[in-house]
Amino acid sequence: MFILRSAKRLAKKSGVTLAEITISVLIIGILAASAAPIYANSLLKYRVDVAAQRIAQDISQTQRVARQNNSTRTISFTSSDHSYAISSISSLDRVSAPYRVGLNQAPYRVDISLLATAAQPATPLTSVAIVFDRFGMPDQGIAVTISAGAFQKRVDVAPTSGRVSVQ
Amino acid sequence: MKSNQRRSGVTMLELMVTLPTATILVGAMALCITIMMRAKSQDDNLFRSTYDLSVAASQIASDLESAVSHVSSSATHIEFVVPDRNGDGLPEQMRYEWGGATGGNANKILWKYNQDPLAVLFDDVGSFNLLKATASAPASVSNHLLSETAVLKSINAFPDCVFREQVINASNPIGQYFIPDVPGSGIKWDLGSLRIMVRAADANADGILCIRVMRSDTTTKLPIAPILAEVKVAEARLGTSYQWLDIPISPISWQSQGVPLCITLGYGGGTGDVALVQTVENGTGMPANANLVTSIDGGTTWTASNVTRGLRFYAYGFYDGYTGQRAFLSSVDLKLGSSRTTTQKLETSVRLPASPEIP
Repeated sequence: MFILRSAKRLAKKSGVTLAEITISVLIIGILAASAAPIYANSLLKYRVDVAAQRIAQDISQTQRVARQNNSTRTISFTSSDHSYAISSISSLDRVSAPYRVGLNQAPYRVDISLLATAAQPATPLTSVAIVFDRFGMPDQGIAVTISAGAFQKRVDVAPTSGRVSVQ
Repeated sequence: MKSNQRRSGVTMLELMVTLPTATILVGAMALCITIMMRAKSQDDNLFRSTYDLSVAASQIASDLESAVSHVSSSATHIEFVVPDRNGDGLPEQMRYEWGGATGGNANKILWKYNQDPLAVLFDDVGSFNLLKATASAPASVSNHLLSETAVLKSINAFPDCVFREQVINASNPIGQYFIPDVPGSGIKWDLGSLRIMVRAADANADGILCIRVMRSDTTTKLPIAPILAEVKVAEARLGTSYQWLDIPISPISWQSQGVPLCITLGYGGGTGDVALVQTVENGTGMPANANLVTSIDGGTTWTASNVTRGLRFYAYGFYDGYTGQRAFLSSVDLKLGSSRTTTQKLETSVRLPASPEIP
Protein backbone atom coordinates (compact mmCIF):
# COMPACT_ATOMS: atom_id res chain seq x y z
CA MET A 1 0.00 0.00 0.00
CA PHE A 2 2.76 2.37 0.94
CA ILE A 3 4.76 1.44 -2.16
CA LEU A 4 1.75 2.03 -4.38
CA ARG A 5 1.11 5.44 -2.84
CA SER A 6 4.71 6.50 -3.31
CA ALA A 7 4.66 5.46 -6.93
CA LYS A 8 1.47 7.45 -7.48
CA ARG A 9 3.03 10.53 -5.93
CA LEU A 10 6.10 10.18 -8.11
CA ALA A 11 4.06 9.88 -11.23
CA LYS A 12 1.95 12.92 -10.42
CA LYS A 13 4.85 15.14 -9.35
CA SER A 14 4.65 18.30 -11.39
CA GLY A 15 7.60 20.40 -12.75
CA VAL A 16 8.45 22.20 -15.96
CA THR A 17 7.75 20.49 -19.23
CA LEU A 18 10.10 20.42 -22.20
CA ALA A 19 7.80 22.85 -24.04
CA GLU A 20 7.96 25.36 -21.20
CA ILE A 21 11.75 25.17 -21.07
CA THR A 22 11.99 25.54 -24.85
CA ILE A 23 9.76 28.61 -24.86
CA SER A 24 11.55 30.35 -22.00
CA VAL A 25 15.01 29.59 -23.39
CA LEU A 26 13.82 30.89 -26.76
CA ILE A 27 12.55 34.14 -25.22
CA ILE A 28 15.75 34.63 -23.25
CA GLY A 29 17.72 33.90 -26.41
CA ILE A 30 15.79 36.50 -28.45
CA LEU A 31 16.18 39.11 -25.73
CA ALA A 32 19.88 38.42 -25.41
CA ALA A 33 20.38 38.45 -29.18
CA SER A 34 18.68 41.81 -29.50
CA ALA A 35 20.61 43.30 -26.58
CA ALA A 36 24.04 41.92 -27.49
CA PRO A 37 24.84 44.30 -30.42
CA ILE A 38 23.69 47.29 -28.39
CA TYR A 39 25.92 46.21 -25.53
CA ALA A 40 28.85 45.54 -27.87
CA ASN A 41 28.38 48.93 -29.53
CA SER A 42 28.16 50.74 -26.22
CA LEU A 43 31.43 49.08 -25.22
CA LEU A 44 33.08 50.25 -28.46
CA LYS A 45 31.72 53.78 -28.02
CA TYR A 46 32.87 53.80 -24.41
CA ARG A 47 36.36 52.67 -25.38
CA VAL A 48 36.67 55.38 -28.06
CA ASP A 49 35.37 58.05 -25.67
CA VAL A 50 37.76 57.09 -22.90
CA ALA A 51 40.74 56.82 -25.26
CA ALA A 52 39.97 60.30 -26.69
CA GLN A 53 39.79 61.72 -23.18
CA ARG A 54 43.10 60.10 -22.30
CA ILE A 55 44.78 61.55 -25.39
CA ALA A 56 43.34 65.02 -24.67
CA GLN A 57 44.51 64.84 -21.06
CA ASP A 58 48.00 63.71 -22.05
CA ILE A 59 48.39 66.50 -24.62
CA SER A 60 47.32 69.08 -22.02
CA GLN A 61 49.66 67.48 -19.51
CA THR A 62 52.57 67.72 -21.98
CA GLN A 63 51.81 71.42 -22.44
CA ARG A 64 51.66 72.03 -18.69
CA VAL A 65 54.87 70.13 -17.98
CA ALA A 66 56.66 72.11 -20.71
CA ARG A 67 55.51 75.36 -19.13
CA GLN A 68 56.27 74.29 -15.56
CA ASN A 69 59.73 72.94 -16.35
CA ASN A 70 60.58 75.80 -18.68
CA SER A 71 61.79 73.40 -21.38
CA THR A 72 60.39 71.82 -24.52
CA ARG A 73 58.31 68.65 -24.43
CA THR A 74 57.27 66.60 -27.44
CA ILE A 75 54.27 64.33 -27.81
CA SER A 76 54.50 62.11 -30.89
CA PHE A 77 51.83 59.90 -32.39
CA THR A 78 52.52 56.91 -34.64
CA SER A 79 49.71 55.40 -36.66
CA SER A 80 51.48 52.12 -37.54
CA ASP A 81 51.50 50.82 -33.97
CA HIS A 82 48.61 53.03 -32.77
CA SER A 83 50.62 54.57 -29.99
CA TYR A 84 51.93 57.87 -28.69
CA ALA A 85 54.87 58.81 -26.52
CA ILE A 86 55.88 61.90 -24.56
CA SER A 87 59.51 62.96 -24.29
CA SER A 88 61.13 63.45 -20.88
CA ILE A 89 58.07 62.31 -18.95
CA SER A 90 58.31 58.91 -17.29
CA SER A 91 55.75 56.16 -17.44
CA LEU A 92 52.99 56.08 -14.86
CA ASP A 93 53.95 52.53 -13.90
CA ARG A 94 57.73 52.67 -13.94
CA VAL A 95 59.84 55.75 -13.40
CA SER A 96 62.65 54.39 -15.55
CA ALA A 97 60.41 53.73 -18.57
CA PRO A 98 59.37 56.39 -21.05
CA TYR A 99 55.77 57.57 -21.18
CA ARG A 100 54.15 55.55 -23.95
CA VAL A 101 50.53 54.62 -24.48
CA GLY A 102 49.58 51.81 -26.86
CA LEU A 103 46.02 52.65 -27.85
CA ASN A 104 45.46 49.27 -29.48
CA GLN A 105 46.13 47.50 -26.20
CA ALA A 106 43.91 47.03 -23.15
CA PRO A 107 41.98 48.86 -21.85
CA TYR A 108 41.41 51.05 -24.93
CA ARG A 109 41.88 48.70 -27.90
CA VAL A 110 41.23 51.45 -30.44
CA ASP A 111 43.05 52.31 -33.66
CA ILE A 112 44.54 55.60 -34.77
CA SER A 113 42.70 55.88 -38.07
CA LEU A 114 43.96 59.28 -39.21
CA LEU A 115 46.88 61.48 -38.23
CA ALA A 116 47.11 64.93 -39.76
CA THR A 117 48.31 68.44 -39.10
CA ALA A 118 45.83 71.27 -38.62
CA ALA A 119 47.33 72.98 -41.67
CA GLN A 120 46.60 69.97 -43.90
CA PRO A 121 43.80 68.01 -42.21
CA ALA A 122 43.10 65.86 -45.28
CA THR A 123 46.64 64.55 -45.72
CA PRO A 124 47.17 61.34 -43.72
CA LEU A 125 50.55 61.04 -42.04
CA THR A 126 52.25 57.98 -40.56
CA SER A 127 53.51 59.96 -37.61
CA VAL A 128 53.00 63.44 -36.26
CA ALA A 129 54.50 65.27 -33.30
CA ILE A 130 53.84 68.49 -31.42
CA VAL A 131 56.69 70.29 -29.74
CA PHE A 132 55.52 72.51 -26.89
CA ASP A 133 58.05 75.23 -26.21
CA ARG A 134 58.92 76.45 -22.73
CA PHE A 135 55.92 78.77 -22.80
CA GLY A 136 53.58 75.89 -23.62
CA MET A 137 53.08 77.00 -27.19
CA PRO A 138 52.86 74.26 -29.81
CA ASP A 139 54.88 74.39 -33.02
CA GLN A 140 51.82 73.26 -34.98
CA GLY A 141 48.23 72.11 -34.63
CA ILE A 142 47.29 68.48 -35.20
CA ALA A 143 44.22 66.26 -35.52
CA VAL A 144 44.23 62.66 -34.24
CA THR A 145 41.28 60.48 -35.24
CA ILE A 146 40.80 57.25 -33.32
CA SER A 147 38.25 54.57 -34.12
CA ALA A 148 36.81 51.30 -32.88
CA GLY A 149 34.20 49.58 -35.01
CA ALA A 150 31.92 52.21 -36.49
CA PHE A 151 32.74 54.77 -33.80
CA GLN A 152 35.35 57.46 -34.09
CA LYS A 153 36.46 60.58 -32.25
CA ARG A 154 38.81 63.33 -33.26
CA VAL A 155 41.17 65.08 -30.88
CA ASP A 156 42.17 68.51 -32.19
CA VAL A 157 45.06 70.61 -30.96
CA ALA A 158 44.76 74.23 -32.03
CA PRO A 159 47.88 75.89 -33.43
CA THR A 160 49.37 78.72 -31.32
CA SER A 161 47.19 78.21 -28.23
CA GLY A 162 47.48 74.43 -28.01
CA ARG A 163 43.88 74.18 -26.88
CA VAL A 164 42.72 70.54 -26.97
CA SER A 165 39.19 69.71 -28.03
CA VAL A 166 37.49 66.37 -28.57
CA GLN A 167 34.94 66.06 -31.35
CA MET B 1 -3.67 13.78 1.47
CA LYS B 2 -4.86 14.36 -2.07
CA SER B 3 -4.26 18.07 -1.94
CA ASN B 4 -0.74 17.34 -0.77
CA GLN B 5 -0.15 15.10 -3.73
CA ARG B 6 -1.31 17.69 -6.28
CA ARG B 7 0.71 20.54 -4.79
CA SER B 8 2.88 22.24 -7.37
CA GLY B 9 4.87 25.55 -7.68
CA VAL B 10 7.59 26.94 -5.51
CA THR B 11 7.93 26.61 -1.79
CA MET B 12 8.43 29.52 0.54
CA LEU B 13 11.98 28.34 1.13
CA GLU B 14 12.79 28.36 -2.57
CA LEU B 15 11.36 31.87 -2.92
CA MET B 16 13.36 33.09 0.05
CA VAL B 17 16.55 31.80 -1.53
CA THR B 18 15.97 32.92 -5.11
CA LEU B 19 14.63 36.42 -4.46
CA PRO B 20 17.62 37.68 -2.44
CA THR B 21 19.99 35.99 -4.90
CA ALA B 22 18.33 37.73 -7.83
CA THR B 23 18.32 41.04 -5.94
CA ILE B 24 22.02 40.77 -5.17
CA LEU B 25 22.85 39.94 -8.78
CA VAL B 26 20.75 42.75 -10.24
CA GLY B 27 22.08 45.17 -7.63
CA ALA B 28 25.67 44.27 -8.40
CA MET B 29 25.08 44.72 -12.11
CA ALA B 30 23.40 48.10 -11.57
CA LEU B 31 26.33 49.18 -9.43
CA CYS B 32 28.80 48.18 -12.14
CA ILE B 33 26.88 50.17 -14.76
CA THR B 34 26.61 53.19 -12.47
CA ILE B 35 30.33 53.18 -11.76
CA MET B 36 31.07 52.84 -15.45
CA MET B 37 28.82 55.74 -16.39
CA ARG B 38 30.26 57.91 -13.65
CA ALA B 39 33.78 57.20 -14.75
CA LYS B 40 32.87 58.04 -18.33
CA SER B 41 31.04 61.28 -17.80
CA GLN B 42 33.98 63.09 -16.26
CA ASP B 43 32.89 66.26 -17.99
CA ASP B 44 29.90 66.57 -15.77
CA ASN B 45 31.59 66.42 -12.45
CA LEU B 46 32.75 69.28 -10.41
CA PHE B 47 36.26 67.99 -10.00
CA ARG B 48 36.93 68.42 -13.70
CA SER B 49 35.50 71.91 -13.61
CA THR B 50 37.71 72.97 -10.70
CA TYR B 51 40.72 71.42 -12.36
CA ASP B 52 40.07 73.35 -15.59
CA LEU B 53 39.77 76.59 -13.63
CA SER B 54 43.11 76.02 -11.95
CA VAL B 55 44.76 75.30 -15.30
CA ALA B 56 43.30 78.51 -16.75
CA ALA B 57 44.38 80.55 -13.74
CA SER B 58 47.92 79.17 -13.76
CA GLN B 59 48.32 79.78 -17.48
CA ILE B 60 47.17 83.39 -17.24
CA ALA B 61 49.35 83.88 -14.17
CA SER B 62 52.48 82.47 -15.80
CA ASP B 63 52.05 84.74 -18.83
CA LEU B 64 51.27 87.79 -16.70
CA GLU B 65 54.37 87.28 -14.59
CA SER B 66 56.57 87.99 -17.58
CA ALA B 67 54.62 91.06 -18.72
CA VAL B 68 56.93 93.95 -19.50
CA SER B 69 54.36 96.35 -20.85
CA HIS B 70 50.69 96.96 -20.19
CA VAL B 71 48.43 97.69 -23.17
CA SER B 72 44.93 97.75 -21.70
CA SER B 73 42.91 96.06 -19.00
CA SER B 74 39.46 95.97 -17.40
CA ALA B 75 37.62 93.66 -15.00
CA THR B 76 37.13 91.17 -17.81
CA HIS B 77 40.24 91.50 -19.95
CA ILE B 78 43.93 92.25 -19.90
CA GLU B 79 46.27 92.87 -22.80
CA PHE B 80 50.00 93.03 -22.29
CA VAL B 81 53.37 92.55 -23.92
CA VAL B 82 55.87 89.84 -23.01
CA PRO B 83 59.49 89.56 -24.20
CA ASP B 84 60.25 87.72 -27.43
CA ARG B 85 59.20 84.08 -27.37
CA ASN B 86 59.54 82.83 -30.91
CA GLY B 87 63.00 84.14 -31.69
CA ASP B 88 62.06 86.86 -34.17
CA GLY B 89 63.50 89.57 -31.96
CA LEU B 90 60.06 91.08 -31.40
CA PRO B 91 58.12 91.20 -28.18
CA GLU B 92 54.81 89.29 -28.20
CA GLN B 93 51.50 90.91 -27.43
CA MET B 94 48.73 88.83 -25.89
CA ARG B 95 45.23 89.39 -24.64
CA TYR B 96 43.11 87.31 -22.27
CA GLU B 97 39.44 88.13 -22.38
CA TRP B 98 36.33 86.68 -20.79
CA GLY B 99 33.42 86.26 -23.20
CA GLY B 100 30.77 87.35 -20.68
CA ALA B 101 27.86 85.43 -19.19
CA THR B 102 25.69 85.51 -22.30
CA GLY B 103 26.19 85.65 -26.05
CA GLY B 104 28.21 83.60 -28.51
CA ASN B 105 31.32 83.43 -26.37
CA ALA B 106 29.49 83.04 -23.06
CA ASN B 107 31.52 81.46 -20.26
CA LYS B 108 34.66 81.23 -22.35
CA ILE B 109 38.13 82.66 -21.91
CA LEU B 110 39.42 83.97 -25.22
CA TRP B 111 43.05 84.46 -26.10
CA LYS B 112 44.70 86.64 -28.69
CA TYR B 113 48.33 86.26 -29.66
CA ASN B 114 49.97 89.06 -31.64
CA GLN B 115 47.90 89.50 -34.78
CA ASP B 116 46.05 86.17 -34.62
CA PRO B 117 42.26 86.43 -34.19
CA LEU B 118 40.71 85.93 -30.76
CA ALA B 119 40.40 82.18 -30.12
CA VAL B 120 38.66 80.20 -27.39
CA LEU B 121 41.15 78.95 -24.81
CA PHE B 122 38.98 77.66 -21.94
CA ASP B 123 35.31 76.74 -21.63
CA ASP B 124 33.03 76.77 -18.60
CA VAL B 125 34.36 79.84 -16.84
CA GLY B 126 31.19 81.30 -15.34
CA SER B 127 32.72 84.40 -13.84
CA PHE B 128 35.90 86.37 -14.28
CA ASN B 129 37.08 89.26 -12.19
CA LEU B 130 40.40 90.97 -12.65
CA LEU B 131 41.60 93.44 -10.03
CA LYS B 132 44.68 95.56 -10.56
CA ALA B 133 46.95 96.73 -7.80
CA THR B 134 48.92 99.77 -8.90
CA ALA B 135 51.88 101.60 -7.46
CA SER B 136 52.29 105.30 -8.11
CA ALA B 137 55.56 107.05 -8.65
CA PRO B 138 56.38 109.38 -5.73
CA ALA B 139 56.41 113.06 -6.67
CA SER B 140 59.92 113.55 -5.27
CA VAL B 141 61.52 111.33 -7.91
CA SER B 142 62.83 113.16 -10.94
CA ASN B 143 60.42 112.78 -13.81
CA HIS B 144 63.30 112.89 -16.22
CA LEU B 145 64.72 109.73 -14.76
CA LEU B 146 61.36 108.12 -14.45
CA SER B 147 60.37 108.63 -18.04
CA GLU B 148 63.63 107.51 -19.51
CA THR B 149 61.98 104.65 -21.37
CA ALA B 150 58.86 106.53 -22.40
CA VAL B 151 57.77 105.76 -25.94
CA LEU B 152 57.46 109.03 -27.85
CA LYS B 153 56.11 107.36 -30.98
CA SER B 154 55.92 103.85 -32.33
CA ILE B 155 54.80 102.08 -35.48
CA ASN B 156 54.92 98.31 -35.23
CA ALA B 157 52.56 95.42 -35.86
CA PHE B 158 48.91 96.48 -36.21
CA PRO B 159 45.89 94.28 -36.98
CA ASP B 160 45.59 93.58 -40.73
CA CYS B 161 48.80 95.41 -41.52
CA VAL B 162 51.25 94.43 -44.25
CA PHE B 163 55.03 94.65 -43.87
CA ARG B 164 56.98 95.87 -46.89
CA GLU B 165 60.66 95.82 -47.57
CA GLN B 166 62.47 99.02 -48.48
CA VAL B 167 65.99 99.03 -49.80
CA ILE B 168 68.31 101.88 -48.82
CA ASN B 169 71.09 102.98 -51.14
CA ALA B 170 72.74 106.16 -52.42
CA SER B 171 69.68 107.27 -54.38
CA ASN B 172 66.92 105.85 -52.16
CA PRO B 173 66.95 107.11 -48.57
CA ILE B 174 63.81 106.79 -46.44
CA GLY B 175 62.46 108.96 -43.66
CA GLN B 176 59.81 109.06 -40.97
CA TYR B 177 58.01 112.23 -39.97
CA PHE B 178 56.41 112.22 -36.54
CA ILE B 179 55.16 114.40 -33.71
CA PRO B 180 55.94 112.75 -30.36
CA ASP B 181 53.01 111.77 -28.13
CA VAL B 182 53.34 113.40 -24.72
CA PRO B 183 51.03 112.72 -21.76
CA GLY B 184 49.59 116.22 -21.32
CA SER B 185 50.00 119.82 -22.38
CA GLY B 186 53.04 121.92 -21.60
CA ILE B 187 55.33 118.91 -21.32
CA LYS B 188 58.67 119.11 -23.05
CA TRP B 189 60.39 116.11 -24.52
CA ASP B 190 63.79 114.96 -25.69
CA LEU B 191 64.83 112.06 -27.87
CA GLY B 192 66.82 109.28 -26.20
CA SER B 193 67.05 106.42 -28.64
CA LEU B 194 65.59 104.90 -31.79
CA ARG B 195 64.71 101.31 -32.53
CA ILE B 196 64.27 100.25 -36.14
CA MET B 197 63.58 96.93 -37.86
CA VAL B 198 66.54 96.46 -40.16
CA ARG B 199 68.81 93.92 -41.84
CA ALA B 200 71.90 93.90 -44.03
CA ALA B 201 71.11 94.41 -47.73
CA ASP B 202 73.48 91.79 -49.12
CA ALA B 203 76.06 89.17 -48.19
CA ASN B 204 79.18 91.31 -48.66
CA ALA B 205 77.80 93.87 -46.17
CA ASP B 206 80.22 96.63 -47.08
CA GLY B 207 77.89 99.64 -46.82
CA ILE B 208 77.35 102.15 -44.06
CA LEU B 209 73.87 103.17 -42.95
CA CYS B 210 73.48 106.80 -41.95
CA ILE B 211 70.70 107.64 -39.49
CA ARG B 212 69.86 111.29 -39.03
CA VAL B 213 67.48 113.17 -36.79
CA MET B 214 66.32 116.30 -38.57
CA ARG B 215 63.85 119.10 -38.13
CA SER B 216 60.70 118.75 -40.14
CA ASP B 217 58.19 121.02 -41.80
CA THR B 218 54.78 120.76 -40.10
CA THR B 219 52.89 121.40 -43.33
CA THR B 220 54.84 119.44 -45.93
CA LYS B 221 56.08 116.86 -43.39
CA LEU B 222 59.44 116.78 -45.18
CA PRO B 223 62.84 116.88 -43.47
CA ILE B 224 64.59 120.26 -43.31
CA ALA B 225 67.93 121.47 -41.95
CA PRO B 226 69.52 121.44 -39.47
CA ILE B 227 70.63 117.91 -38.72
CA LEU B 228 70.10 117.50 -34.97
CA ALA B 229 71.90 114.18 -34.59
CA GLU B 230 73.66 111.71 -36.84
CA VAL B 231 74.66 108.08 -36.24
CA LYS B 232 76.43 105.79 -38.69
CA VAL B 233 76.06 102.02 -38.51
CA ALA B 234 78.21 99.62 -40.54
CA GLU B 235 76.16 97.20 -42.63
CA ALA B 236 78.32 94.38 -41.28
CA ARG B 237 76.85 95.10 -37.83
CA LEU B 238 73.33 94.44 -39.06
CA GLY B 239 71.91 90.94 -39.00
CA THR B 240 71.31 88.80 -42.08
CA SER B 241 67.64 88.58 -41.08
CA TYR B 242 65.34 91.30 -39.79
CA GLN B 243 65.94 92.32 -36.19
CA TRP B 244 65.46 95.37 -34.02
CA LEU B 245 68.41 97.69 -33.91
CA ASP B 246 68.67 100.06 -30.95
CA ILE B 247 70.39 103.30 -31.76
CA PRO B 248 71.26 105.64 -28.88
CA ILE B 249 70.84 109.31 -29.79
CA SER B 250 72.65 112.00 -27.88
CA PRO B 251 70.06 114.39 -26.41
CA ILE B 252 68.96 117.04 -28.89
CA SER B 253 67.76 119.50 -26.19
CA TRP B 254 64.25 119.93 -24.82
CA GLN B 255 61.58 120.27 -27.47
CA SER B 256 58.16 121.81 -27.04
CA GLN B 257 54.98 119.82 -27.39
CA GLY B 258 53.82 119.49 -31.00
CA VAL B 259 57.26 120.00 -32.56
CA PRO B 260 57.75 117.51 -35.41
CA LEU B 261 60.91 115.55 -36.16
CA CYS B 262 62.06 113.55 -39.14
CA ILE B 263 64.31 110.51 -38.91
CA THR B 264 66.08 109.70 -42.13
CA LEU B 265 67.87 106.49 -43.03
CA GLY B 266 70.26 106.92 -45.93
CA TYR B 267 73.55 106.13 -47.58
CA GLY B 268 76.56 106.76 -45.37
CA GLY B 269 79.38 105.20 -47.42
CA GLY B 270 80.55 101.96 -49.03
CA THR B 271 79.22 100.37 -52.18
CA GLY B 272 75.78 99.18 -53.28
CA ASP B 273 72.74 98.87 -51.04
CA VAL B 274 73.44 99.62 -47.38
CA ALA B 275 70.41 98.15 -45.59
CA LEU B 276 66.88 96.83 -45.84
CA VAL B 277 64.22 98.26 -43.54
CA GLN B 278 60.60 97.31 -42.97
CA THR B 279 57.63 99.59 -43.45
CA VAL B 280 54.10 98.99 -42.17
CA GLU B 281 51.07 99.49 -44.40
CA ASN B 282 47.30 99.75 -43.89
CA GLY B 283 47.11 98.55 -40.29
CA THR B 284 44.14 99.25 -38.06
CA GLY B 285 45.25 101.70 -35.39
CA MET B 286 48.15 103.32 -37.23
CA PRO B 287 49.05 106.45 -35.26
CA ALA B 288 48.22 109.95 -36.41
CA ASN B 289 50.95 112.52 -37.01
CA ALA B 290 53.32 109.98 -38.51
CA ASN B 291 54.16 109.80 -42.20
CA LEU B 292 56.70 107.96 -44.28
CA VAL B 293 58.83 110.17 -46.51
CA THR B 294 60.76 108.85 -49.49
CA SER B 295 63.24 110.14 -52.02
CA ILE B 296 64.63 108.81 -55.30
CA ASP B 297 67.43 111.33 -55.75
CA GLY B 298 69.54 110.71 -52.69
CA GLY B 299 67.59 113.02 -50.43
CA THR B 300 67.66 116.22 -52.51
CA THR B 301 63.88 116.16 -52.84
CA TRP B 302 61.50 114.25 -50.59
CA THR B 303 57.89 113.05 -50.95
CA ALA B 304 55.59 112.36 -48.02
CA SER B 305 53.36 109.28 -48.29
CA ASN B 306 49.84 109.17 -46.91
CA VAL B 307 49.23 108.26 -43.27
CA THR B 308 48.59 104.58 -43.95
CA ARG B 309 52.29 103.89 -44.34
CA GLY B 310 55.12 104.22 -41.86
CA LEU B 311 58.58 103.02 -40.92
CA ARG B 312 58.60 100.15 -38.44
CA PHE B 313 60.22 101.96 -35.54
CA TYR B 314 60.14 103.09 -31.93
CA ALA B 315 61.29 106.48 -30.70
CA TYR B 316 62.16 106.58 -26.99
CA GLY B 317 62.78 109.69 -25.02
CA PHE B 318 62.29 111.76 -21.88
CA TYR B 319 59.61 114.12 -20.59
CA ASP B 320 60.22 117.34 -18.74
CA GLY B 321 57.65 119.19 -16.67
CA TYR B 322 55.48 116.14 -16.24
CA THR B 323 53.76 116.54 -12.89
CA GLY B 324 51.11 113.86 -13.16
CA GLN B 325 51.53 110.73 -11.13
CA ARG B 326 52.48 107.71 -13.15
CA ALA B 327 50.91 104.40 -12.26
CA PHE B 328 52.66 101.07 -12.48
CA LEU B 329 50.96 97.69 -12.44
CA SER B 330 52.41 95.81 -9.49
CA SER B 331 50.05 92.86 -9.17
CA VAL B 332 46.87 91.39 -10.56
CA ASP B 333 44.25 89.45 -8.61
CA LEU B 334 42.26 87.06 -10.70
CA LYS B 335 39.04 85.45 -9.51
CA LEU B 336 37.65 82.72 -11.75
CA GLY B 337 34.33 80.96 -11.19
CA SER B 338 32.95 77.74 -12.56
CA SER B 339 29.93 77.93 -14.84
CA ARG B 340 28.56 74.74 -13.23
CA THR B 341 28.19 76.15 -9.78
CA THR B 342 27.99 79.66 -8.42
CA THR B 343 29.80 78.81 -5.21
CA GLN B 344 33.01 77.55 -6.76
CA LYS B 345 35.59 80.33 -7.06
CA LEU B 346 39.28 80.14 -7.65
CA GLU B 347 41.45 83.07 -6.68
CA THR B 348 44.98 83.71 -7.69
CA SER B 349 47.27 86.67 -7.22
CA VAL B 350 50.07 87.42 -9.63
CA ARG B 351 52.98 89.74 -8.94
CA LEU B 352 54.45 91.51 -11.93
CA PRO B 353 58.18 91.89 -11.29
CA ALA B 354 58.62 94.27 -14.26
CA SER B 355 55.86 96.60 -12.97
CA PRO B 356 54.80 97.85 -16.41
CA GLU B 357 53.46 101.37 -16.61
CA ILE B 358 49.74 101.89 -17.11
CA PRO B 359 49.38 104.63 -19.70
